Amino acid sequence: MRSPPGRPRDMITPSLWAVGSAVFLFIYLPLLVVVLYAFHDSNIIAWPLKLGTFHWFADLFHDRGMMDAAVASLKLALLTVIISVGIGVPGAFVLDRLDFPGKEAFRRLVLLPLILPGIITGVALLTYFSFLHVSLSSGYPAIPGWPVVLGHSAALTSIVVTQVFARLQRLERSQEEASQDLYANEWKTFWYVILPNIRTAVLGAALLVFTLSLDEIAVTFFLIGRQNTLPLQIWGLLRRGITPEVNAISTIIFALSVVVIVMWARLMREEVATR
Amino acid sequence: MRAHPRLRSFLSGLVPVGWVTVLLLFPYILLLVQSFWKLENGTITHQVTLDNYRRLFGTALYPDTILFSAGIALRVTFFSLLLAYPLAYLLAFKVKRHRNLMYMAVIIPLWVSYLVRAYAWKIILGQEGILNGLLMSSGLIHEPLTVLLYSKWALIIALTHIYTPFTLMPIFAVLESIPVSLKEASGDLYASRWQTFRRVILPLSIPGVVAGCTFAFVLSMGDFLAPQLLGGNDSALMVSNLVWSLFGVAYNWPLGAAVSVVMLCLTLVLLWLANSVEKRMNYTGADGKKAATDGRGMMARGAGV
Amino acid sequence: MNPSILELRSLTRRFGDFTALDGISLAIAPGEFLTLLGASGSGKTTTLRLLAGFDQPDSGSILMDGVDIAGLPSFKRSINTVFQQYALFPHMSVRENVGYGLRMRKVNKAEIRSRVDEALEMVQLGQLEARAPRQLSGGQQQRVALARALVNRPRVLLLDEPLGALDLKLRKEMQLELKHLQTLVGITFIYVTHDQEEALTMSDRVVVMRQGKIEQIGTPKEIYAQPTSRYVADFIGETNLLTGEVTSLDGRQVTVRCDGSSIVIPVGAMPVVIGDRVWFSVRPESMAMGTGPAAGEFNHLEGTLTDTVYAGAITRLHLALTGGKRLVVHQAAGGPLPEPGARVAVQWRPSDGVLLPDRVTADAGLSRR
Repeated sequence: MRSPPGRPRDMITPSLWAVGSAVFLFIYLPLLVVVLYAFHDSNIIAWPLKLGTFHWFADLFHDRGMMDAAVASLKLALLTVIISVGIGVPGAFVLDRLDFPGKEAFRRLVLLPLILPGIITGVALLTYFSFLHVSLSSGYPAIPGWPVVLGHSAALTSIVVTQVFARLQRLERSQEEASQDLYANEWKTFWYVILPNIRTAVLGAALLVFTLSLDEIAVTFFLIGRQNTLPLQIWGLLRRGITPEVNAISTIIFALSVVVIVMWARLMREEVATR
Repeated sequence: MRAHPRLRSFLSGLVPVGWVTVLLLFPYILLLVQSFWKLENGTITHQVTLDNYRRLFGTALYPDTILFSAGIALRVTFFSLLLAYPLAYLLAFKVKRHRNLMYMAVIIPLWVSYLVRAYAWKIILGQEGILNGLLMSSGLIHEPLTVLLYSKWALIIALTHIYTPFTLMPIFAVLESIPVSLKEASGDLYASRWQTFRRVILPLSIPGVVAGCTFAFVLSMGDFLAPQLLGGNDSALMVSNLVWSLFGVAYNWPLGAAVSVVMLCLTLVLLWLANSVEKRMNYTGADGKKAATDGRGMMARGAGV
Repeated sequence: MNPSILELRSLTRRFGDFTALDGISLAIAPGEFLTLLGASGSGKTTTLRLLAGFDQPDSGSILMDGVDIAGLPSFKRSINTVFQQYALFPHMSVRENVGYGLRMRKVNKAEIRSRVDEALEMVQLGQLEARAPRQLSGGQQQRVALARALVNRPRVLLLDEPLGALDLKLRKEMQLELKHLQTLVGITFIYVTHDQEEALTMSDRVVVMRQGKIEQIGTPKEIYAQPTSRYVADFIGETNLLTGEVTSLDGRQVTVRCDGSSIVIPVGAMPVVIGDRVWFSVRPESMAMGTGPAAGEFNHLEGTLTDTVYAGAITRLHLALTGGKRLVVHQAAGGPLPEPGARVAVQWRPSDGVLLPDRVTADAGLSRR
């Protein structure tokens, strides 16, 4: 029979909100700074901020190296998405459906590049390709190089596997049985029942792989041949000192990221709705 | 009549399993093998030796660097947890409307280029950066402080900034999976709110905390770009930077491989420990476990680091 | 006897060490409503999955019109299933769900349209055809599942606890509706349930399963009134299982000594001799409170009233016999009831007792009730 003498004064909730907001600021302020300085009207990035120019963006489009790097990155990311979806979706099925000796090892191995610091995967692949005498610029200039494409795909397949596997686990097996019961063979069942159900997971994973590949440095760094990718190009600029051009390209990347996130968020909303 | 589907599933498994074997297993094994090879006059000979490990453990530089990196990573982990836990708690229990939106807002930075996030701190902490500018214009200092950038604290701040959302994800997922009725039951049984947190919420959230901290630790210890960008002379020497220079400028791949193998072993031991803790303390059932793995999928951002 | 539409011949299915189905043989007549009834793990769902083609038997055969279909994948069998949780495709509308099977069989569009219309009409869901499954109530989803299966005009329809997810009132309604529907379409229904009341209400024949074997097959009435084993007597409805020693017998009746009284029971299928210990079953509703040793045509027992439990139409009286054995008697509502602790006598007609053929094992005297 405890009836409190009125609502106890809540000190905890307001302080939680205060801490939470501070953390939000901590997360977002630096990003805001980068964006603001992209419009900074001075060669030197310094306080105070002088807003009001677009010429860093214009410079960017005349920067041949940057443009080439951007194209290379896009090619790399697209190839990576295609390969890692092509391998990752069957991989998820293997984890979900098949039983074979070494399955546990397979599962752990797939996840390894996700868990290990990227540099380890990078040097391992470098060692491997060099051992096999595969030239890092093989495939150039059509693509940035097969080793880096394979390296990205090997590292990022795990994302497709985990996302699709999680979805498959939630997919009731009776759905497939119902389909087969209704005269659909395995292929039709895959096409009409399984695929629509894992579609959002596959697309979500593809988006994730795409952005991760665009941003990848550790593996790229060791495997890149003659053509720099965008992050490596930016990295090169940064090593020479900070220039507002970097802010401009960062801002563009940031804006593109937001577009991708919105797409991803919409996919995930659909995904949540299926739970 | 059942051999046929079995054969088919064998074939369908062949591609992914083969892929993982050829492009992950073999490279990792080769890295291990190479760490036992000998470097003679700048060429690698396939001669088995323990020299690399002898040198690794015999020269103060290597163990010191590993310890130094672990120290940095530990601090990053601590601060990330300190920032992430209250926010995760707030999102899980206090935010009623727009919770998903706010959660998305927290993990959006994971999608934003790693380089951009690291570089932002250079603008803020640099000699002519925002912080110095603000401090000078407020009259607190007269000369720009040079210690802000290129110090290990700059590195720690930037890494904390990068890994806080990582740490938050699994914690939030586990907190969210705790049924509200448990909180109510605890209150019903005379526990104060602090006691409820201490005795019910905190113990149940341990798997998420462990998962988040493990990743923050492993990934920040393995980071090699932020140290070069922000860390200054001493802290440019994180263990990954050693690997980087051994494989790059120094061209001593066998020794680099040995350092990598040590890093790999440390990571695996840590993950194994974390995994057993998670397993033992996972009371919220499949939900919590799945949440942690989900977080891991999203943690993918770290794969690029 | 009718030629059977489906015949199961010594079907066996093992999962590791566990024998889920142990040599089941069964013939099913066209147009029959057959129910597989059993507790979980009895093999009823395994049987259904073998019939549907989701699983293959380790040995035995399934004959459909005399042809063995045990190895055929489910998409090649003209058998359809209504799944336990319905397994409606969440990404398709009601209409798409129902039309799925016809589309897979490449039926032309116009015919699909008209047959889906017809099927939706039949389950009264015409106006909901554009909805997604998750926008429907449980009962509506159930109807969609039914329409989705029936629209294919299968030879046999399998139903796996289709009403299990519904609440009691809706379940009762759907039981009747299903039965009507079955009579209307004339398709053979094989229905799996663990709910004995459901089985009795709907079926032409009930197959009681236990530990991978068939315990008894019969009409609901036979199963209820003439159980052939202690398990069936106990599993179907509420009953009093009693044991005693045979003291005399003639061609029609057996006399058993039980709790100090002589009880007369009609002879069963199993031959007994004087001195045997036997089980028999008497339903609580066959028993009534009596006045003590009365006219010879009734059996009677005496005990102490321990509890009276009011249950609406009837009141349950719980008695403890002198030997400690418990009895349940249903008393119609109304009329005065004795207080707990009172000595009461119960009586029943000899024809209401059923002799059960199970051997009495050493520990059976201390049995469950």
